[in-house]
Parts: sequence; structure tokens; C-alpha cells
Amino acid sequence: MTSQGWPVPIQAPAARRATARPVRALRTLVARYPLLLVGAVLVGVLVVLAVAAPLLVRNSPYQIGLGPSMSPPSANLWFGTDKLGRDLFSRIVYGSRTTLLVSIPSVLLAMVFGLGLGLSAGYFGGRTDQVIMRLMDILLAFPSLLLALAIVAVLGPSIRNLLLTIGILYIPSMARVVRGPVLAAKEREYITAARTIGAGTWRILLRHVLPNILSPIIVDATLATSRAILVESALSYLGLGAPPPNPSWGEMLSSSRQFMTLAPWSALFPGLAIVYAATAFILLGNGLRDWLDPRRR
Amino acid sequence: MLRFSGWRSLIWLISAFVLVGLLGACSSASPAPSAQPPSAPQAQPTQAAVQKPAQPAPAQATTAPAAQPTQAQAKASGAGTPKKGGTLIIGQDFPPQHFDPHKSNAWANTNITESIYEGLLRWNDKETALEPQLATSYTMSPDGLTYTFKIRQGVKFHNGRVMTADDVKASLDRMRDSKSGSVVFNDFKDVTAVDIVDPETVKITLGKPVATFLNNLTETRPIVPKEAFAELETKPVGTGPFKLEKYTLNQSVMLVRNADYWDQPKPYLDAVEFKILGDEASKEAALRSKSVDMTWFRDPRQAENVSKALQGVVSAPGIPSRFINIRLNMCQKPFDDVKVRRALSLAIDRKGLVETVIPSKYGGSVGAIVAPSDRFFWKGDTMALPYYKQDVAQAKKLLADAGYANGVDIEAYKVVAANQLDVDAAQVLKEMWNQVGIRVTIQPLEAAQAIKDYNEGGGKMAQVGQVWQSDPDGFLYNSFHSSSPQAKAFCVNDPEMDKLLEQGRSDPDAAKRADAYQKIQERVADQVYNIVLYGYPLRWEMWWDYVKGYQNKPSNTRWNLRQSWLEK
Amino acid sequence: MLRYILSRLVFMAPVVLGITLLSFVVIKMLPGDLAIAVMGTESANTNPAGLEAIRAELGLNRPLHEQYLGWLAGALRGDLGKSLSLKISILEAIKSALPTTLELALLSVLFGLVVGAPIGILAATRGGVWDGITRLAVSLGVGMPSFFIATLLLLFIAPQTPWIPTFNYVPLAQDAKRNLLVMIFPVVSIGTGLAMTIAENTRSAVLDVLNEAYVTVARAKGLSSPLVVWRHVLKNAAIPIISVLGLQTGFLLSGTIIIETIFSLPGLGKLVITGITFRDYPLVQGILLFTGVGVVVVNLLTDLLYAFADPRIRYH
Repeated sequence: MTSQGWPVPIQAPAARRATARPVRALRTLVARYPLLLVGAVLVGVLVVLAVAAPLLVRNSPYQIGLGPSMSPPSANLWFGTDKLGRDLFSRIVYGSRTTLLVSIPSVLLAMVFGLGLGLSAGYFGGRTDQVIMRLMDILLAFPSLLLALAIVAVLGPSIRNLLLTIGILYIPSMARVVRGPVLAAKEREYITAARTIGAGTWRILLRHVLPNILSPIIVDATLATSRAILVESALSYLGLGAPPPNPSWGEMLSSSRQFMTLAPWSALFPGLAIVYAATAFILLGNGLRDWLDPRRR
Repeated sequence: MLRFSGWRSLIWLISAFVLVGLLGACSSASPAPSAQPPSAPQAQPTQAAVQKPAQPAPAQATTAPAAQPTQAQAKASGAGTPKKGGTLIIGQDFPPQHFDPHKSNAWANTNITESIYEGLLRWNDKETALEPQLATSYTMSPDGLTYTFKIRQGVKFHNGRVMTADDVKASLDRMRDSKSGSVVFNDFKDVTAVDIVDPETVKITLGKPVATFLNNLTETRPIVPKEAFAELETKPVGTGPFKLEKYTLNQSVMLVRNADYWDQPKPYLDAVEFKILGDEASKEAALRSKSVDMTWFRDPRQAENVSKALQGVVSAPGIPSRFINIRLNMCQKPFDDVKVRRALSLAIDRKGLVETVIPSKYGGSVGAIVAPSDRFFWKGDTMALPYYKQDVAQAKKLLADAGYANGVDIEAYKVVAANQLDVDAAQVLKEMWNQVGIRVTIQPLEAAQAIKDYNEGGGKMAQVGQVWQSDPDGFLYNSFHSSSPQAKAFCVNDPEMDKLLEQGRSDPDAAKRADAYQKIQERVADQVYNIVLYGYPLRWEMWWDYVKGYQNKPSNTRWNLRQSWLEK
Repeated sequence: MLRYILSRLVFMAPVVLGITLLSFVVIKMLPGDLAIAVMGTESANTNPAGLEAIRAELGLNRPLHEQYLGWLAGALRGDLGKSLSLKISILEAIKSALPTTLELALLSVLFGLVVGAPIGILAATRGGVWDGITRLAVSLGVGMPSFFIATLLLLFIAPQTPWIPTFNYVPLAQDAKRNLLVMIFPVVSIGTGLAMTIAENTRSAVLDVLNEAYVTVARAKGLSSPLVVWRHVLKNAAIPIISVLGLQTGFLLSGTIIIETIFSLPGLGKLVITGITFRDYPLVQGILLFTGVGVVVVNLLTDLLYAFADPRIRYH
């Protein structure tokens, strides 16, 4: 909900400099935008966890009765076990797969549709704008969780349906994010100039408008990923996430909430995993914004 | 403006690490005081009776900490001189939908309405026999077709009017009329007439003998004044010890003392408030903070932990009143083939399942198609039932014989999402079935939908818990008798089964009924119409020890509120 | 500006219509048979004729468009029908639940502003370490789901604070003190994320304004920093902050669904969960419609503010 697109972004100065001496440029980048480093490292760790999950854990996340029910963290079972005696560490590491499999594609989906709709609305204005934005308003009018509950209830909970649902949820906000800068960019001299010399609509959109709104989109997509992670965990917290035994952090948290005093780790670790993943993307998004879009810090 | 130099980025990194470190410290510091290694076996002397499930075990209560025995204390909590006054607050997990007792079976409703309404009869404390309530006595004709009730005189409804034989007839007629919106009319379908013999006597005539008929006349099928019929949903009027004062939507149900109650000096409490709390964790927090005086828990691990942590909480584990079973839709492949069904049953390590989901020390046990606490429950070792012992090789062979050598995929294994224990069991089964090549996809659903599929054959397999009822007849007959819509929906058509069910329903000889139900349990296991997983105590009740005179009942109704009082 | 407002109002009509349509369609697609829900499965099985009668009574056997128009006409008259599970009028149910949710939402916004805005201003004006710590805290706060905060509060803070009567909700009018005490945990659970969003937006809005020429001029004139912040910066930064609040309406209502359930507050969120649990479709439909229209009104106000702030937009 951040860059709603009032000020107009400009080309990132650091990016231009980066081509000269890569290593030094990178060091400069890191020194100047520490958030970017922290965010990138945290997200990187998350991605590595998801991709290399089978190599990183000793036990299958599905194997029941590895240890006694709800045993505390130990040398063998780092995060202890859940109620069914499954290795909580394995489940949390594999949970990163569920999370990323839902959140990243859903944001990409929202981005593709949101970009198309937002560009059209902002650039063409008038009736097109009205129709598109009114449609978006209809979707936006419903609290996201309420709409998600309804859609998932209709489609049935599965990873595919979750990412579709969350994708649909974020189309309107993405379209809004795109539309604002497009509206403003349209007023810029160079666009007017391009139009006067007779450049075609698509050409203007692709060559002149898009590059100028790419930064806020990338930033927003990164931040939207963190929100997608939170919605996914909220849905699975409410029992509408990836169906068990798929390891899903929200479900792990909600199913062990009643054992918080008995086995605090079984609720704390999944909760912290959600916080970690969401925060990682937020930090990365903020870092990207610092770098790409220095006016919008 | 603000530019970060080198040292600033260092601070950044340090603060990041400090934060991460702090989080780590939090998480490792927090499991402190209450955490006990669950592996250490906890002495549970109170469960001894529970593990002999053939007879309904007496309801038990222990005072925390749980290591102490028990019966004496349970009695102690009931001893003393009743004191009048005070409001008892109960943690309730679902809001009631309405208060018309004839139009709902839902526990969220009856749990409250059983203190408002009364039936002609009631169950004794152990729920093994019926006793008179609004009737003072009853007789049954030798042919089992006529029941004659003497109506208690001078009983006043909450609206001040005295109950008459007219009200009894009107209520019974309303309950047996499906057009009235009654949900219990099926229980009365063999009733041919209800007649008023004289102002103190009512006669009920049946078309054929129904051994279980009297079970239908307790407080869940109560007597209400006929002038109140139309508005019972929002304005309940009964004869019970408490009357509805106020229902605040999604918040609380306030019952107040019925000053005109016929069984004086009961009730002792001025009021009972049912506070509607969302989930197990909220109930625990509310009990801990004494926001509620009394509540119950689903998961015995949580309940045991709470009872140990809280000094002064009376803990009543309950008896194994619920059993979980999966109904297979035999109208569809692959379950039309008994070999596949048997393979499914053989692949299950039932003891392992029980120990993982609801260990025997908490009253979990391998189940049959009758509740473990039922008097008709399987007499021998349940593991001796056909296809109960795990045999992976045999399961694979049966599957191959049925033409599924490469395994079989079952896309929707429906379970109730809200009930975590049910979902747990499904996950354990999924892994067990994986071993023989049966690959199921678990589909958690909201309760209403899962129950609908369970009853109507939607999808291929649906798992639902059955709660102990006073008699197994209703559930079994509806499920398996070829004439019932449910059996039709699942393609159960078994003449042998029909014969047994009819014998169970109408044979006046209790021993023959018992025999029929033994055979039914065996037959269900043999043909694998349903896969019965395990039985366990549905509710573990808990109340602060200043609540006196209360005792839990096998069916977990809160009947005893009328004899409870507070000593705060 | 007036013309802009009028045109926005005109364009609101199709949105509201769309909301009614979507509320209707989504609920119609939900699994489960309404008539069976009303009757109870067991009776429905044994009494197909009764089931048909109920279907007819509820109008379920009419064509979809007729059902929709009938519902819409009722909604226009303020009649959303009768709740199936609660046996009272849906409008009545919403009316009784609304104050709780409004209170929770407003208190959360207040908490968000009181906690978030100073943090944002501090981060923007002090810079350096303050800025760094703030931004980390902000990221953490935004990334922390409300239900996790609630869980932590309930199990680690609640036992230490027996003076907070966590589950003893009373309406504000009945006992204001207890009501506000009960609201502490829910408000903190929802408000923390909100506070951090506000802090973040305050920070960037203030930074934006600080970069503007007039601020530099004001500084050059020798005005002290705090004075500059109060006089020039906050006034100009307020609008983006408010517009962010408008966009958080949906977020707030989403938060209330889980938080009201966890803390047993009898608000709209709890009502929705009740409706879904009992398959009370008319109720869920009514709430969808109600919240949908509510959010649209807030969005409209936001847009107007937004247009007010950036005149370029309203001419398109």
C-alpha cells in the first residue's frame, strides 16, 4: 500500500554507474543501500531453503512418529516435533516451498494482469479508465480475506487455487500502482513529444511509459510478495490453505496454537518463519526502492 | 539528505543480527515453565474405568494436579451444603442458532436448551437407565405397542401457565410432524396416535414395537406450551430450571433462575452465562484468567496440560463417547470392489494410529461401528474384528487382484477442517495408505459440508465423528438399512445386514438385540462399509473448584447445572 | 472540484451494482445446499417433499436472475432478509455487530496513528541510526501477521496482566472502562501492522516534503527544524498519510475477521465466520454487500482527498 504513484520516478542513477566496474559498483551499492543487502540475503536464504530443501533436512517432513509427540528441540530434531511426531524443522524448511510456490506466482499473475489493466487505464484514460478502474474498485471493495475465503471455499483449497485467489486479490492494487505513475508520466514533455512526432500507442507505452514505471512496479511486486505470504498464511491459518499434510506455516501455527503453553516451539517457529519470510521481502522491497526510486524513500 | 556511509551500514548489519539474535533468544527462552517432556508417561489412574468401555463408565472428576486419585475428590466436590446465588460462566465454542428444541439437534443448541426444557423422562446420572421427569411414572403394554404416562401436576412453564396433558400431546404431535419443521420426526415415525386419557394421563400408541422408543422422550425432545410454538426460536418457554434472559449475538447466552421450578430448592444458581469463545486456545486463556468458571477441551493433551498447570481446577476427562469413521461411497470405483475396501482396512496400523492421534492413556481405543461407551459395543478385543490387523502384503495383493496393481489415486478424502484431531488422523492414514499404493488427497472442509458428504455420498470418502447416542439403532439403521436414503446413496444393499438391523430395532429381548449389534459390528468390519478408526472421549470438561455440586455426564450434557452452586 | 465529485458519485453507481452482483454470485457458487442447511441433513434425507417445500419458500427454485432481482429489491428497501442460523433479521444482526467492528477498527487506526506517525517523523527528521532502526522495526511490524501477535499476547502477556479482562467483552455504552480494557489486545494485534505502515508512509511523505523547495527556503530563512516540521512538513504530508489510511480499510476489515474470532468479539468478522460455519448464505451475502459498499464509500472519500491534493488527476 505504499507507492501509490504520486511522484514520478526517474532512471536510477546507480544502475547506470554499475556497468563500469562491477565489483566496486556492487560494493558501493551495498554500502549505500544496506537494506538491499539485508533483504537480498534474507530472501536468498529463503529461496535456497526452498530449492535445496531435500538436501538440507535429515528427515522427511511427512514422516510420522519420528519422535515423541511435541518433543522439545534437541540435537537431532532442531525445532522439536509437532503433535504427530514429525520433524518440525523439516516441515518448516519444506514450508518455504509452499509459501513461495503460492506467493511468487500469484504476484506474477497479479503483475501481468495489473500491468496490462493499469497501463491501459492510465494511458487511454476516459471511458477505458473508468471501466477498468470501476471493475478494480468492485474487487477492491471486499476485504481481501473475506473475498479470499469465499473464492477458496468455491474452488476448494489447493496450492493452485490459492495462488489464483491471491493473484486475483492483488490485481486491483497492482493496477492502481501502475495507473498512477502512468497518468502522471503521460503529462511529461517527452511523452507529449513522442505523441506529436506520431509515435504509435503501443510504442509509446512500451518504449516510453513502461521503463519509467518499472521501478515502482518492481518495488511494489516485491512488497506484494510479502503481503501474499501473509494472506497465504492467514488462509491456511483459517484452514483454507494448502491441504494437509502439505507443510504450511499458517496451518502449523494455527494447529499448535492450543499447545502454546505445552509446546511453545511448535507455534513459535512457524510464526517466526512467516515473520521472517514476509519481512525479508519487505526489506528487499524497501532496499530496491532506495536504490531504484530514490525520491520515494 | 540522508546518505548512508560505511559505518552506518555496519550499524545496519549489527542491528539486523541483534534482532535476529533477540528473536532466537525469545524462542529458546519461552518453552520454560509449563513444558514437560511429553514422552514421560503420565500416571493416569483416573482412566482405569475408561479403558473398560463395554459399560458406560461413571463420569469422573479429578482435582488438579492430576496425579491424585479421584473418586473421593469428585464426591468431595459435590459435598457440602448448597448455597444460593451467583452467576456461573461457561466457555462455549459455538453460538446457538436458535432455541426451538424440536427444530435442532445441534450440540451448540441442546447444550443450552437442556437447562431450559425438560422431557417426560430423563437419564440417570450414569446414563444407563431412564427415570421419570415431567412424567411421574409410565407403563408399557405387554405387546410393546402402548405407553401410558402419568403427568406431573403443578409444573409451571416459564410463562407462568401450568402444564397440562394437552401440552404433552401438542408437543409430541409437533415433534412427529415433519411439516412443523421438526428435525426429530423420524424418531416418532412408528407412533400412530397420542391420546389424552384424562388430564393426568397421556397414552402413546405405536404401530410396531420399538425397543428404543423411550429414549426419545428426554429433554432433547421436550414438552413446551403450545401457545409458544410459533416463537420458540427466539423466545424459548419450557419447564426447566433456567429460563432465557438474553441472547447477545455471538457473545453470550444469559439464563436466569426459574423461581417457579417444580423441583425446589433447585436450581441454586441465580444465573448461568454461556460465553461464546471461538477456539480451544481462547477457551484455555479464558479458563486460566477465570473469565469463565467452566469449559471443555477437545484435545486431551491440551486438557491435561491445563489441568496440571492450574491448581484448583477440577478436571473430568470424560468417557470414550465418540468414534471416528470413514464412509466409503460404494456406488463408485474403486470402492465398489470389496477387495479395495479390505485393502484399505488392512493397510491401517490401527494401534499405531491411536497412539499417534489420541493415545490410549487418554482413552483412545481401536473402534467399531458402535461407540466404545455403548452397552452394545464389541465385547471382545476390537483388533480381532476382520481385516483389522495391519497386513501390508495382503493389502497389496488384494489391490492387485482388484486390478490396481499400480496403486490407486483417490482425489478427495473429506475431513472436518475444524476438528484438528480428525485432520491429524487423516494425515496419519495418508502415510499408511501410501505404503500400499493408495494415494489419497486430503480435503478439509467446513463441518456442515463434510457431514453432508458423509450423509449423502458426495465424493468418495468422508470422515466424520459419531457421538455416542443413547442407542445405536438410529445411526446404524439410517446408515446401513437398504431402505434408508443414506444407505441408498452409498449403495449399501445387504439383506443379511437388513435382517440384523431389524432384529436390533424391534426385538424386545435385550440379549437378542445385543447379539444382533455384535454381528452388525463384525459385518461392517468384514464388508468394510465404513472404516472405523478409533473411539475416544469427545470432551474433557474442566471447572474451577469453587463450582460445587457439578458432575460431568457420559454424554457431556450439562444437565447437572441445576444442582450446582458457587462457593467463591 | 464539484464536477469531479459529482462524476465520481455517478461512477459509484455501477461499482455498487457490481458489488451486489459479485456478492450474489460468489455466495451462489459456495458449496452446500441452502435448503438442506435449513432443514438439517437428517430430516432432508428422510423428507424430500419437505425439502422441496423449503426450497420453494426460500425461492431457490426460481431462476437465478429472479432470485438476484428479488434480493436486490429487498436490499434497496433495507431488507436483507432473515438470517437462517440466527433467526433474526440480517440487518439487525449487522447493526448489532457493527459497533464492535467500527470501534475495533477506529481504535486500531488511532493506535496506528499515535504509534506510527511519531515513529515515521522521527525516522525522517533524525535520520541515521534512528532511521535504520525504525526501518527494520517497520519491516518486522508489517511482516508480522496479526494472528501471530495475538497468539503471543494471549499466551505471554495475558497471564502477566490479570487486570485485562480478555474475554469479557461488554459494549462500550454499558461499561466503557471494561470495554476499552478488553479492546487492548485486539487493537494491538491489528494496530501494530497498521502503525508500521503508517510509520513507513509518514516517513516517506515527510522526506518528500522535506525535499521540496519551500522547506529549504524555510530552513534558509532560519526557521528551526521542529518548527519547519510542524508548520510546513506535516501539513503537506498529512494527505498521503490519510489516503493510505483509506486504502487500509479492507486490510482492517480483513484483520477483524481473524482477530474478532480469536478474541471472541461480537463484530462483523465473527458474524461472517458464524455465517460461513453455519452455511448461512443470506447472512454472508448481506455482510459482503454491507462491507463492500462501506469500503466503496471510504475509497470515494480517499479519491476525493487524493484529487484535492493532486489537481492533475481530476481533469482526466
